[in-house]
Amino acid sequence: MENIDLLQQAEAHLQQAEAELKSAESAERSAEHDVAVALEELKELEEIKPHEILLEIATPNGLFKGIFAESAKISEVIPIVVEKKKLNDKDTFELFHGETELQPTSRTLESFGLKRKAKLELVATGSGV
Amino acid sequence: MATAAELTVAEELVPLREIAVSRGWNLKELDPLHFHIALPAKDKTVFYLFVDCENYKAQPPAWHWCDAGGALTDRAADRPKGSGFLHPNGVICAPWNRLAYKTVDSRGPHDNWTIGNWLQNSSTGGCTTLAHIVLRIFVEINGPRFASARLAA
Repeated sequence: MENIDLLQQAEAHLQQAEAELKSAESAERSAEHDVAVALEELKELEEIKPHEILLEIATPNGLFKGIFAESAKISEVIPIVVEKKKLNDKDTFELFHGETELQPTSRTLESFGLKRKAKLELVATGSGV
Repeated sequence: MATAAELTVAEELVPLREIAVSRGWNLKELDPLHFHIALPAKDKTVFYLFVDCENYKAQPPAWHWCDAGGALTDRAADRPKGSGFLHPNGVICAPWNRLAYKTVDSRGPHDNWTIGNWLQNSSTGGCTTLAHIVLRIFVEINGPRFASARLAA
């Protein structure tokens, strides 16, 4: 009877150890991914000259990555992205940075406080209620 | 053989997958017509959507707010609030959401829209693909109209 209890305890410990191992492996993979992303970002930033910004824009046709002058106007950026991502140029698009809508489009990237690298979203105007 | 809806969803998931990976949004493809996606809001709350693309694009997808596992849908506790778009009835109010049509769902705010015309509805705008719709929702829950986290359960 005592041996059975010990065996059950050992099995429970083994299961716990296996779960902890899986969790550790998952954390390791996540950390490796974070390191890879950070290294890639460092490499990207090395390619950017002073007064330039790397924009990573989520568009309806996928990701757009491009380097722009900080002094580029939003109205200059949007048509380039629309063309490169083959979006419908009959739609009117708006750029967003977090909760900030980049309006008016006559303003420059730097006037919105964007520096070095920024993640933006491009969405068609009026799509919703 | 894949249906037209399955082929369209497969094609439109390509850009969505790319964006999701880049932004760290968890996208789970459950089967050829259903997926689950996690989107962070501006207050760092994460909201989850279970998306049903049956009959896409003859009809728009049904965008259900759900729990993290995707098993529980349309609970008040899982919905964001803050605008007519994030409608108090618990559905996203847009022609590209099947649940916005009263003929489909009693919570749907609109009995004046025809579901078969969702692509031509002026309120759809350019929002005619899965990636575009997800971006539109993301912008809303990160924008100034997003009031706070979930409705009271």
